[in-house]
Amino acid sequence: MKILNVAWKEILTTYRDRAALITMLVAPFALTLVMLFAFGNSGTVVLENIPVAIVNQDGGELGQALVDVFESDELADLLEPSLVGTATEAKALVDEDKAAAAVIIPAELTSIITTGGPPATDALATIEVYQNPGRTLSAQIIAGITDQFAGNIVAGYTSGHLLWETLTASGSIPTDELQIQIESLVNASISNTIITVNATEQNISQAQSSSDFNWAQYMGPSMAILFLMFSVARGGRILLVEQDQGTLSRMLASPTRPSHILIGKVLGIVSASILQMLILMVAMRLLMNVSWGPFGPVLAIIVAVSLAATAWGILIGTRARTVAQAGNLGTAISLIFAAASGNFYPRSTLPEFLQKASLISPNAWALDAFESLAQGGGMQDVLIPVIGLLVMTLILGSIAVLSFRRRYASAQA
Amino acid sequence: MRKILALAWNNIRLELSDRSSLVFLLILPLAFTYIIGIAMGGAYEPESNASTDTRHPVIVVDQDASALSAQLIAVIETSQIIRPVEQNLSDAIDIFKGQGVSAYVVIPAGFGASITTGQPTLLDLVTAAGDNYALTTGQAVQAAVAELNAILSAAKTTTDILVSLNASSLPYDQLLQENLQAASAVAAEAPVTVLHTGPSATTSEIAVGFAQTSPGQLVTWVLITLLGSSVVIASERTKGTLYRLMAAPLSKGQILAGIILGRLALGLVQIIILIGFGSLVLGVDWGSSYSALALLSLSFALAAVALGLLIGVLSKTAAQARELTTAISMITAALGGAWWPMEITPQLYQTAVKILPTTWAMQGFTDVILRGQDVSGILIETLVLLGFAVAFFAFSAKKFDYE
Repeated sequence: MKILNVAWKEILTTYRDRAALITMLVAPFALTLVMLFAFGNSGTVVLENIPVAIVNQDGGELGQALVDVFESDELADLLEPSLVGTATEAKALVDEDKAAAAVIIPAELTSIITTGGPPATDALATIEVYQNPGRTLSAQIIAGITDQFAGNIVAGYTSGHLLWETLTASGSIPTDELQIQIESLVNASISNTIITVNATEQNISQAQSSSDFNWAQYMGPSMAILFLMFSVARGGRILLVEQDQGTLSRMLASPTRPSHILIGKVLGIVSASILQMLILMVAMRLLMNVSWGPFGPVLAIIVAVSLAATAWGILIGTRARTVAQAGNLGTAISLIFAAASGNFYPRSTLPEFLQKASLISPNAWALDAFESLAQGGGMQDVLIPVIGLLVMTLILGSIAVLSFRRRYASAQA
Repeated sequence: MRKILALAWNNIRLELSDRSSLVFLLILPLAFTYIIGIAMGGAYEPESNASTDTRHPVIVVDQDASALSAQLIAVIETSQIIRPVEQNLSDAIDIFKGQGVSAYVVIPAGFGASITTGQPTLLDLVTAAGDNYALTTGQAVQAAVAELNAILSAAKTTTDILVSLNASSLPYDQLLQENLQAASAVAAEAPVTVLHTGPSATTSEIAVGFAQTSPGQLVTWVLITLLGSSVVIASERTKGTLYRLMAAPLSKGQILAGIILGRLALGLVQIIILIGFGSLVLGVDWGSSYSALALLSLSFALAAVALGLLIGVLSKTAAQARELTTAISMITAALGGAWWPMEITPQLYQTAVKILPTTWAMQGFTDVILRGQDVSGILIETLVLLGFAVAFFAFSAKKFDYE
């Protein structure tokens, strides 16, 4: 009964603290909302309507052909091209972050290639792609499109130049027919593809390897776990706060066994944590339509991760010397665990050494479990992570109990 | 002024006397900058000149080792977007799966022989699904192959014509080789070229990896440090030390200034360390205008410390202030573009987050670092940040209470 009283008091204290509620409930909810706002339910980055400023100083067909490429139906969703009068204006748009890149087509582009007869070798037409370094991805897509277009021009030029030299030297075709013959040969040459690129996309992350992967279903619990660690670290501090305020000594002086005090505290923190996760789960389901997965496996993960996180929190609380130190340590460990175990990015996209090293954190095991659920998995898929979390609880809990006994001895002294 | 400095110094000493503070000031920011930089693709840099060559690495597995496969690699090397890195297939797959590269290319055995005999040849290009740079690296590989195709087609067409006209006495293979060399020479001197440029005064290269994550992590961690002024205010108030300071010959403004100045100094030192770490250890180019960088850092620090003051004034306890500091730091840093590039978010999102100081700070750092802007180029961001600082200070001063 005394254990339950201590636990109940702990839950009440936690949920009466409005600032704590911000970390426990408001922050994870808000961050999930932001993530969904920024990336949608799929979590995939889809670039569209990339603004590109084009300056066509070339009056010929090649300049127009490049403009046509950027204005083609095929690229209509990806690009938002606009024709600009001068290079200065176009570059200003990039500098002002109103365009991802400016493509400046030189005046001599067509004439340098299609003057008839042997191409001049000393002239040079340079297409400039002025890229916005703040929009790396978009700018490089525009540069890539321009590179491919220029590659086609070079292909035609190379064929034309080589054929002109060879056929002129051979003297086998009359000069007045040469130009027509070469044009037809160049066209045939360009369409003759010798090397074909067999391009395939491969899923390198476990998360992406399933077409059923639901990013929102992963990110919702991920944010909840991130802030669960913060709130549990705060729970661990409670012991030190009580010691500072003298209430721990008073409790120890009461006819309550120290082990009951510790069990009551732990039970309170674990219950508050489970409640925190359940509230977030329900709130995300009702307000964002984000499901965490089937209830049975989700509940198993929630209980296991709450236990493991509490074990970490209590361990920090029993090892730290002051409340401030416990606060700093708790926040630091929470942040390290979050970065190393994939709270901000799908866990499987992190380097392998980080994925392995992060298994000391509750976050990693729980995220593995939620990743399985996000791919359509069930109870059998979360069993190993759940067992991992329980083993972690056992080990850390044992160390925490030993530390608490030492602290209890010093408190009684 | 001496009183303010004494108060500030006292606050710095108190903060640094707790060794766990160093975790937040130094260890975590440096660790995060490194870890997130790796996660964003800045780690796999196999060549000695990698720090200056910011093109995306693409692994090439040359199973043919012929003159033509070497020619393909040479063509890829001329790309302004990607750089070829040769590996065996096993290592290539390991690096690819470890997210080190966005793509790898396999040149199969018999590649050169097939081309010489006029057989169509397949080249395997594997890109990572969902990788931000897969599209651009794939495009660049395709462009390089198109260039080699042009050379091969020109050489083959020319050779076929010469043979059909009986214009050469050389055997077909030898004639094709000669025309390949001639076509390569012509393509190398083609009068059309694409020049990739950018606004940065120091480099035309697009920055990747650490160059993207360093400013983001700087904003996140400096924000946590500076918002920490809230804990100082709340803690001093709950302990009653603020009330006791009233007995000292100090005005309310001087007390606040002392707390702010101490925290501001910590934040600025942290900025210098993070910039130094990014520059010296990770090879990040922080732009050419130190005055712009200093001005922007100072205005961001002022806005952040003022926000911390406001949180401290509004918090009832130090624990409350600590909770709010962590939550607000992380949410505003993420929203403001410190965790992911703003270009991948919807336009509506980009407009909405202009209400946050972190958005303006990130925009300013992008201007200085990537666009090579000087003081005149970041004036708007600086003024907006200073505006935030004034507003937060004014509101805090109004609400400030000793008890």
